[in-house]
Amino acid sequence: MTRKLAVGMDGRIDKLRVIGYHGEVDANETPGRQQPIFTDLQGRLVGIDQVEPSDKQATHVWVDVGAPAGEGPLSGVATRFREPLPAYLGYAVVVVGKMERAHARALRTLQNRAESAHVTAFLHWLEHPEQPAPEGILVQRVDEVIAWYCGFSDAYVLYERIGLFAEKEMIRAACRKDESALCEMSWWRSRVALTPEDDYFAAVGLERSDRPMVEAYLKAVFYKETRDSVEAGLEHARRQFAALCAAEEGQSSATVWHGEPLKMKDTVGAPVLRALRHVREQQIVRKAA
Amino acid sequence: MALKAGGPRKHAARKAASGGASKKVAKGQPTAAARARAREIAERMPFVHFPASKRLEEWKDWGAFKSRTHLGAQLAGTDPFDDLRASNVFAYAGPCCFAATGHHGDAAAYLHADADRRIDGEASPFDSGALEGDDARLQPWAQQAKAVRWKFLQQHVHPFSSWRQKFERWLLHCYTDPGRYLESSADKYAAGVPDKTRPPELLEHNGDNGRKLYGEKYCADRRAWTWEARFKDPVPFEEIRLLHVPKRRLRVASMVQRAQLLDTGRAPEIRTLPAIEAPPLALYLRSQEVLEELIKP
Repeated sequence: MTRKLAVGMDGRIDKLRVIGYHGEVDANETPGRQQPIFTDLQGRLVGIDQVEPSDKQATHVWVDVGAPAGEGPLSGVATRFREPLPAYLGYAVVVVGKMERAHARALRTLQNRAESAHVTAFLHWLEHPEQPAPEGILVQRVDEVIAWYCGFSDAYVLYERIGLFAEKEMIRAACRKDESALCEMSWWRSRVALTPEDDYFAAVGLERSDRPMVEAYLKAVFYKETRDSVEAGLEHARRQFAALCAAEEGQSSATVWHGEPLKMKDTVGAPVLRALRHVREQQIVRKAA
Repeated sequence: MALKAGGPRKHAARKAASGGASKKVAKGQPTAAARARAREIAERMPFVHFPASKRLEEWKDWGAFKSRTHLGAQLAGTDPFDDLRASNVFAYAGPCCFAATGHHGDAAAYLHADADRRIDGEASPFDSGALEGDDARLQPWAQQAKAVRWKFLQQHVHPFSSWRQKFERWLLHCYTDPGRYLESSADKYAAGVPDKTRPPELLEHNGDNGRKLYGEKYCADRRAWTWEARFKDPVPFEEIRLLHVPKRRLRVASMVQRAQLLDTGRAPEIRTLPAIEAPPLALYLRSQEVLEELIKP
């Protein structure tokens, strides 16, 4: 059967709960954005079919009511919470793990134009996840990962923060020639890519640390682009990467990771490098806006 | 033939500009473009399977995509729909409509279009699952006895040897623009809605029309006009043309791809969802663009 449920002004969906999410997310594959699994108060699986705004600014959803979810593990590839969460319209589950927990403080204190009180509160809690979560932060621990049930805009801000931090760490790893750290940060960067430029930057890091995977990465992500277009995007990212490395090292000439110097025409001075970094950060902030 | 204003010379110029085409398309008949598009879709449509009971890296434990009976289960023989469900590998010849209540998973597999030449099976122009069980949705048959629903399904079963010709004719009957069959928009009751169906009740009693008619009772969504393929034999993994996975699963998918290449000499392609999009709904929403890519020559 189908049912029409009311949605409160805060987005809460009446008589619906979140009992888990689709898929299983490994602790070293985070963050992962996963669709929540809903039940009604009778424990029956529910799918949201349609959102119906009314002329009085109240909103309803039409839901499809299915079979009971039962107790124990959910059928298929799915993850069950220990306790259900209230259901909200426009929310999804963000699953965080090893990387986010290790860098929670740095992510929280990162200077970033796009702010979110929820993201800050979540990251603050993530530094000490053994504590109860603050009010308004809906979380569930699942083995080695933590699921945060949050709105789309909060997920976007978190992804953007991780992306900025991961890029800085990629540059630092490249400068100290730490291939393992560069690989880890590049994959982390890829998992939060919000724009093609983000993906190209991650690919440049993988080029220098996980080369066998680069071709697969570019084919999987940029399958709609021509080879020339992909090469152009990659080349632009290579130049940005090299310039940021040079700025990090405080050098007046940039060198490529594997020791070959760039051609003289590619050499830029420190003021220009600072400007390049500022431009890149502005691009990210504009896209977030 | 009456000439348009402008005289014989201008008429000849117009005729030349149109490539010499002087035949008008009779009202209600498909255009040449529609025929070409229907043929292209029918000939090249792949199948999409949603193996939601095992993680991607564990699929190899099966050896192939298999039904429950392929894995050793016995048929109960009491409900033909249950037996159908147990003895076939199900796929859609259309958008990945598996993102439904109760289907839990986050990876889809697109099979080669010519898998139906190597593996025995059949197809129907709607989801057979919408006719089964106490929560049957395909109206108005959902309200009728199981035997009537089964008979209706049997009237619309086409063996793999002939299903693509039927599919092509069906596309031309149901759509003035057959490309709309591939639509995978968020409102699954309105996605890809045809201009007409055969029988007409499929459209009149399901989708948006069905929601208006039946209120809180069930009716079918776009699965009332999405072709379902049922493979009677196991589907070997070399039939996978493309894996559609979340971004975070790219490394695992790549390992699966390499293993497949070593085992069979044939490796699937990989496509990832954008990082911020959540499966499995995103797998459905993006399936239109995946299909359009796989169908184009």
